[in-house]
Amino acid sequence: MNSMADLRAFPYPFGDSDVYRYSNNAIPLDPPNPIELTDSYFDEISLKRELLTKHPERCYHSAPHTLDAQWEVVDLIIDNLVTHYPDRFELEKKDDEWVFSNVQTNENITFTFGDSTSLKIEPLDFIGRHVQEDLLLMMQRDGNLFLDAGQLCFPANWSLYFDAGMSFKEIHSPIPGFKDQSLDDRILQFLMRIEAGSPWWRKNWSLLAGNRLDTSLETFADWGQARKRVTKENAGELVHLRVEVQKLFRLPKSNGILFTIHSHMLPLEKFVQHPPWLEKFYSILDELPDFIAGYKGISLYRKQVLEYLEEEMRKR
Amino acid sequence: MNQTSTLRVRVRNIKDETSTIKRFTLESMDYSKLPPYSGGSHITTFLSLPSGTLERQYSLFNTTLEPGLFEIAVRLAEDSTGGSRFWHQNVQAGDALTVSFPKNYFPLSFQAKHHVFYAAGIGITPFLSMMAELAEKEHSFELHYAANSKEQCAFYEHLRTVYPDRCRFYFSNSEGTKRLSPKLLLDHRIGTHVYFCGPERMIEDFTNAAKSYGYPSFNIHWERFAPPVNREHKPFSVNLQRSGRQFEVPANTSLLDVLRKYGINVPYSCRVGGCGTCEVKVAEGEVFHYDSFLTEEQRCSKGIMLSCVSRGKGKLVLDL
Amino acid sequence: MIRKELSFSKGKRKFLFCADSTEEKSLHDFVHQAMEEGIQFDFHIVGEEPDSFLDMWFNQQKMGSYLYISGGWDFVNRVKKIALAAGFSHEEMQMKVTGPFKKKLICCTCHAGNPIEDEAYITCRNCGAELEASTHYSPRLEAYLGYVSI
Repeated sequence: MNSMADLRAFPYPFGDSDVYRYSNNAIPLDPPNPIELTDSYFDEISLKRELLTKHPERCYHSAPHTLDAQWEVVDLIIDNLVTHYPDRFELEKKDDEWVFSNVQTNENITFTFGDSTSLKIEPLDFIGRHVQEDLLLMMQRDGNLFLDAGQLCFPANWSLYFDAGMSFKEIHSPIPGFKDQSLDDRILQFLMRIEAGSPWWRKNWSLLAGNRLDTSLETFADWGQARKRVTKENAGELVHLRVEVQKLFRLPKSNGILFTIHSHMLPLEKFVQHPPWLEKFYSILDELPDFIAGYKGISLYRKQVLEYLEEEMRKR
Repeated sequence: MNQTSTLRVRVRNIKDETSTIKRFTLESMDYSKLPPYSGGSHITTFLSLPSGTLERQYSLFNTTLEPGLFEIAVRLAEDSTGGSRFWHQNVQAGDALTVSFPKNYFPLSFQAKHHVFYAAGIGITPFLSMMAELAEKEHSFELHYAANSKEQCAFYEHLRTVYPDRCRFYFSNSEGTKRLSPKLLLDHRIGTHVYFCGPERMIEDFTNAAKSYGYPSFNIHWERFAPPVNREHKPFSVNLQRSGRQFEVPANTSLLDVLRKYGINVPYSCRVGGCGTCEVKVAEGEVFHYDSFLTEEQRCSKGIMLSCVSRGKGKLVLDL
Repeated sequence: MIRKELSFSKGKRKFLFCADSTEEKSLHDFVHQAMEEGIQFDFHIVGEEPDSFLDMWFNQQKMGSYLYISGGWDFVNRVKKIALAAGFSHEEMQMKVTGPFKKKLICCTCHAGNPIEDEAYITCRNCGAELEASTHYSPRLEAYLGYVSI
């Protein structure tokens, strides 16, 4: 793919403001598709499957009471895949006997919908292996939301193993400033009011020194080292803007909420090819408060990236 | 609520449950299954009247054995503002209607060891789906249900047949039967969650009694039927308390747009009253809340509104 | 919630006081207050009784009951688990731990649990990583998260 096509496909994460703060930046999702296939489909699902096989303890977790919700996820995602990508996925249904076919991987999976013994792995784990997205299932229980199941191969520096079973606010408690003006309460309230048939989406961004998708907390000692190697000269190539497209669906039967997270990455040298993006990003990064920069993992090399961006702006 | 995602359904069947309550069975227009839903869910129905669209909320259930259908029960209210009258007098089998997806603001407790439902009159409806879900999951529950008489007790035969050991009925105008009393709350085991649905007074009495017996608020749940919302888009004026500025909000413009037009940088995201980002503080004045984000408590506190969809009545003073 | 000091909970129908043999005295003030206010109560000093005894005791209680647990770390956590299983919620109990807290730090790299007290840094006993203790707490694992630095 050439770089203009990369740019066009990249989900630009910033709004019209020159400053960035945590906020609920969700908007209604239309069309309501939980899944998106990109050119890196095959590479990314292969990587996901490899990680799931080698590191199941950090990539998959589920509580037993999530099985019904997991089947709802299977239904939602398969329906979306065969509707939007009919040449790549097929489904044959005879009552509850389903045959799901992934044309690209040449797989045909037969199972009885709703019967978890008819699959070799759990429903969420099964369907997650056919999509690039990470899939998180938050169950609404007793007036709160809990991360009760997930298939997570491409985390932005957090641990599914550790956070599994926690409430939304517990999970986000390490984020500095996230509790200011009760933002955590307000976002929780928003999530709990998501209704079936009316999904939402938002974008979240961070910077990454390196180009790994699997930036788990478990391997931080490994990939985190690259932060020390960023210079003004190599920032364009080494540093990547990482954008998570997060989509939120209410599952009507179990009353759970499905988060699908599609992680996109673009090296800064490509991102800055579009001058308005370059200028906006420079303003935001320059102004970014230390507590946000720290949490997004940028502190160690923000100066180098700003110097790189300044030089790029001079070139134009 | 402001998003336009709706379902088209056809009335398959209408049955008189009592002299004032009708049950409507709804099916998908294309004979596919309607979406599943959790216990306690409701739908909004959109009724096309000559005077405009009436939005009404009804609890959802399915007493048929066929999956993928919606059922609602509508009581003909004496002071009907049009909704229940329309259902009773105008809706016929075969009619096409628009309804919302199922939504649930009255969910079952997850950690309860035992669930107890207290219903009066048409307040039985949310419990039908809740009991069906608990029965399927083999969880422990019981129902206490008050009506004027056996004849006025909707779903009496259904309940007696499906949950014979778990229902107790209380008929106020027949002799020899006990009245439904909050004292029953004294006898529930630890780990019980209680659910109340009925007239305002009944909900209040039971809630107060449960609290006085030492029930944590966490274990007490109730559902009031939401008052009908008639959206009016009239012009109003706003005063900004801090800057002293004053603006007019025309009928066809949102408060958010007016504020932003005059350079007041209210953050926003969804513009349909769903995300909560464009909240502003209200110092004085009455607000018509048209959002689907704020809780009832937040609305009653009168201190906040979502500027993208909600509007003032006459004159509003904002803390800006 | 495990508390430093217990407080008297108003508006309850019945109290259950439960202590190990070393900590019964810490509940005496509350027993006294319950008697003065005429509120029904049970008082158990738990010695060798098996879990099934506590399980039966808790399961017989009605809504409006309120539980106090006082004792060492292991005792309080054992009783709490049985009470939660019987249907008590965190809104219906208070706990006080005497003596050392047995906290656990999970290594973010290898997931091993490490016993800690108040240290800011420890070395993971399984993989040898330097771990920085955090306040990020998992109720499921009953443990805090230990981060590595680069």
